[in-house]
Amino acid sequence: MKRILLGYDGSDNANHALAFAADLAQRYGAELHVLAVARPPEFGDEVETEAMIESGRRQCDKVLQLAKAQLASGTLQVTYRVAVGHPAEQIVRDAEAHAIDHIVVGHRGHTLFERWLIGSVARQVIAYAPCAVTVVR
Amino acid sequence: MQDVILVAYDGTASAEQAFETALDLARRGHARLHVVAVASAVEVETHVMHDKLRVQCAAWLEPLAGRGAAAGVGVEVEVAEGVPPWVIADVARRVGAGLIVVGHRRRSLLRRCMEWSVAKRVLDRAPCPVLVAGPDPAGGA
Repeated sequence: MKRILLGYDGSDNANHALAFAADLAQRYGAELHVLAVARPPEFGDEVETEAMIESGRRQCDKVLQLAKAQLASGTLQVTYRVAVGHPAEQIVRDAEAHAIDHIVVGHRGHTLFERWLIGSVARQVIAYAPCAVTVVR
Repeated sequence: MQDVILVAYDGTASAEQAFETALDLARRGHARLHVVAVASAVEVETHVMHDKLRVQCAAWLEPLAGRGAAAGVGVEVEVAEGVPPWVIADVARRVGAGLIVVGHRRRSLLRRCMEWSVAKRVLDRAPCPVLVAGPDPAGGA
């Protein structure tokens, strides 16, 4: 295991996933890549869309600051990235682009409805990932 | 990270991949492995059928302890009965697993629509992180 990718959104479960991924990276002497994904608006005119993507990116930068703060004390080699698009798709795409061999994501669903709604990111990552995936809950 | 890693094993190439992944993790994390094979019959069961499944599961598990020992990892094996995702989650609770490792079979879109994979159903019930082992590098599974 050389490169571990963490899909990070600043939520509690993402922080659990962060701890798990950092621990894994430590054990394997692997690089850790942290990716935050900004979702573009579903529709809207172009100017508005661009502005929203811009604010989404800024939001992701803030989210990544949370991850940085938690990883600051460690000795890991960490790379941070922001992508724009559908979370599962961007995570898989990033894994392919950077030859990732292990993806770590959080799982947010607790109730049946949440599971159906949000757990779907983890499910889609599992379905399309080119490598092993750990879902942390 | 975890003292006990639970592996769901059914003798297929993807289960093999899961076992190898877990073994490597256990070696690095100084953890023990608990490997469970679930004897489950989809159809109406007969005692004969059931016994046959248990024997089959035990046969799958038999070589694993030796492989664990060769890697310096303690391996416990267990044959359980029931519906795989539920049983796996229950065993994870019972042994206090810190991680569950399962294989993942790549299948056609149609089959994926017809039946949720065991991996995903384990995910919904697991008390701990679940590692879905990647596709076999050799392209099998």
